[in-house]
Amino acid sequence: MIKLKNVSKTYSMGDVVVNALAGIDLHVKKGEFVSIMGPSGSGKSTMLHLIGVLDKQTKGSLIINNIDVAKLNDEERTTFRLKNLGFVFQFYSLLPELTALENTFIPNLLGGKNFDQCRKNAQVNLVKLGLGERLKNYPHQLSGGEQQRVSIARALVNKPEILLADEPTASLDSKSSLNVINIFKQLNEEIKQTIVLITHEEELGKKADRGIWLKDGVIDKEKRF
Amino acid sequence: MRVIPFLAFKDMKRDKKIVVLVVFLLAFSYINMTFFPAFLNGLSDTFQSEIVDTGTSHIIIQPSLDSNEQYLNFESSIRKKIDLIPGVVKSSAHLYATGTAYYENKQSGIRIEGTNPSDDIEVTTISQKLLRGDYLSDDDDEIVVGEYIAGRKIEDSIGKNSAFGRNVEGLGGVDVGQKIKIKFSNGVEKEYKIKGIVGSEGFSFVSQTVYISKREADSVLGISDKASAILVKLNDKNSADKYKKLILELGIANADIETWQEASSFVNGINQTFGIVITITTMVGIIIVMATVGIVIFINTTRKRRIIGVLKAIGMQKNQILGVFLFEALFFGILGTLLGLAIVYSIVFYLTINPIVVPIGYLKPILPLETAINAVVILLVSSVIAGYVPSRMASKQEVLENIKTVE
Repeated sequence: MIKLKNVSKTYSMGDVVVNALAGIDLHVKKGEFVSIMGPSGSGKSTMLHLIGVLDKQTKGSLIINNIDVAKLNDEERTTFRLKNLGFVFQFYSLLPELTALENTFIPNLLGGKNFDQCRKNAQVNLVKLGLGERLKNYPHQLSGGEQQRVSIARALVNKPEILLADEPTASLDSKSSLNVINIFKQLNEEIKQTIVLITHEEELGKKADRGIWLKDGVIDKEKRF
Repeated sequence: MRVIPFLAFKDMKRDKKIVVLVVFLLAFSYINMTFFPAFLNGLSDTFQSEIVDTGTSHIIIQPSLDSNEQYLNFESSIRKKIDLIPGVVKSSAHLYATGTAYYENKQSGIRIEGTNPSDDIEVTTISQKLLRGDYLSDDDDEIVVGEYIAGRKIEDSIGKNSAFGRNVEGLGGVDVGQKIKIKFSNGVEKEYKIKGIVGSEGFSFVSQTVYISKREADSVLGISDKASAILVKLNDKNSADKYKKLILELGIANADIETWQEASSFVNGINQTFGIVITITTMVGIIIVMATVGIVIFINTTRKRRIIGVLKAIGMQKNQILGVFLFEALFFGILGTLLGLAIVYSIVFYLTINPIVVPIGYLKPILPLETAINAVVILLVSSVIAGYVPSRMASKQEVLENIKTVE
């Protein structure tokens, strides 16, 4: 599903070269729930940006669904994300002018579905995530946990191969955080959703099948839970 | 592509007050770009109509400047030939003179025009400008006096001054039946009974002229079968160029022949002068449009940097991002234009029924369709161009840069 081979990413900040990732080898199988953990600056967000086709590696190869994503042009990368990936961001990722339902169906709309199909799919996903009563609420009318559940519904509406979550619980209280991670766990178990979760909270990370700890841009340790 | 209008409308719905403000500013710009030209068109139309109706008709033949002749000779035979040209309604000979009019202790410098009313009634509208009394007949010894020369009442709606600021007290209010003395510039002095008073509101040659019969003018000036000008009325004033050529073919000696457009070309000069002002006001309008739309879209894209990044991350193409903001810019332009059109045409419609009275006459704004359409195009294009720059900037930003904006 996701194969990183000797992947490095370096940034130049003036004269200083920063090795965000240095020779990462990783294989995430279809249906696997992997959490990537580590302290700030360990390279975990960089890794998610690469797997999320939001950035390009400096060295090495990254194959997702048998596609060498580095060879895709900008437009193809965007289409790839739309069709294969679902994103849950840390915070403020919903459009304030759209209701929960409308926010959820945006990827469907981008995929060319008509409004009826979009509404239907979005409603199904929101109901599954316990937001059936909140369809017409705007983001400011939702709690942080509810907003993240809408983000998850949006991320799943196009039935992506991979769900990528970048610190999705960072701005939530412990109860909401646990709730969000349990949703991921449930998705993984029930529909075999492939999930890559970035988190700095080990307790939550341990809910995954496998944990990978990064340190200074390299894999420090790996553990199955 | 249905995502573009969907997101654009949702965004504008959220910022209704901003939309209303932008639309009003754009409508104001539209009014700025169209109303002044409409006003100027009305002004020049008033000028030109007055000149054509009472001064030049559709073609005017005058002694050529090179010939040093004061008059056209054999005017009656020239006019007979002209009147035979199909499409010519009638020609009329005019004799121009100057002099001074006296009444009691008042005097006024005057221009005098001698015409054959039976001909002229078909060529000019002078006889229709009769305010009181009767108009001239061909053999009249009496005169018709312009109201500014006769003198007007102070409570007149135009006010006390004529088009060029001359005091309109004139001869202090002489009227039909009274007698005034005229001293012509050739020294002849004669007393005339006033048969009628002519005039029209505002800018008016008629109000500043004393009319006498051509027979009387011939007698005073001591000439015969001569004319200062021959005015030719056509069935179709837009064919004046063609008829000018036909009249030129008659071979009238020592004559300059001008169409009404040429004779009133100074009005075009005025238009061209005002054209600079119109260009400036149009530029101001464009600047207002571009600044308004550009700033609003720029602020919007800056405020939404992170959301734009999220949208790109979840699969929205750059050109779709660009499309959303361009759609908004175009929508601002369309609404602003529609509101502007509605306001401008309402004002024009109202002022056509209730013209503004200004020192040069009744002003009815005329808004040519071409001017209205040009302003629509300018406003829409300016809106889109102004919106394009910040929209393009927003769409070209890297996804990660956008997403990290708040982080």
